[in-house]
Amino acid sequence: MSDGDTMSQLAVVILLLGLAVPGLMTAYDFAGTPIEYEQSASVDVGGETVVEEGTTLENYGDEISVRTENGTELAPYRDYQWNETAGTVTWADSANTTDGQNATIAYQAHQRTAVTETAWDVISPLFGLFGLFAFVASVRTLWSTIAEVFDR
Amino acid sequence: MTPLALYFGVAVVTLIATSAWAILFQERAVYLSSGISFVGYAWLALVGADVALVTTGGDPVWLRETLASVQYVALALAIVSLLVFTLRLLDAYPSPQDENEQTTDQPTRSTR
Repeated sequence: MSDGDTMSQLAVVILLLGLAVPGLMTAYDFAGTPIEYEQSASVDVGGETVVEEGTTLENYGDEISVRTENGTELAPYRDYQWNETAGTVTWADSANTTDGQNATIAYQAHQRTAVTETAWDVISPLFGLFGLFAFVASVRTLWSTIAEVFDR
Repeated sequence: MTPLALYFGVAVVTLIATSAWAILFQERAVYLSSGISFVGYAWLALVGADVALVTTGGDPVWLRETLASVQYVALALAIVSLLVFTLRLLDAYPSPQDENEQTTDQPTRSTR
């Protein structure tokens, strides 16, 4: 394809850049990578414990592991409920849970890394240029069309 | 999770697009090739931390540490590609001198 035709230039600018912005925004939204965390907590039967890795969080993993200080692995649904959307553990009243008991919650948080955030901080402001590109290409196309009319 | 094969595939397409505007066809399709290479490099820079190699056992091996430097390189090349795109729009790339030389070589080239 030649760059010579102003109409094709405009088409390329609009098509390519029009697809680029939503595509790259979606890529950024799903660029989180799973990172393992452990958090100490105190069992609060009937209550909730919030795990917080809020910065650049995409979502939490759908499974966690909870161990009490004496090494007992607690069972999901029976001993606790994990809410992966809110990042909360709701403690159930069971034979393995006691109020005030120390526990360790191991969980996964999908987060964007510092490099990804840097890349986004550099790339996203450039999206503002795309409108300018489309404008310049439009003006050139219009100018070229007018020139052709007067040449005849 | 982005499979390593997909990441490599996009990298290859992006490198081909880059070679198109930088080496192979400097006076042709610069909008398309520099645009594709910008989008490609930007994507490589953004999703690099999410790339994993899936083992035969089905467990993903995350390559975020390995690809962190690739992300920085891709980011730099994305900026260069967008710069080329802008220069083409301003008729500054390829330089008029280069363009005249290539026109002599290729008399059938279409006019701008």
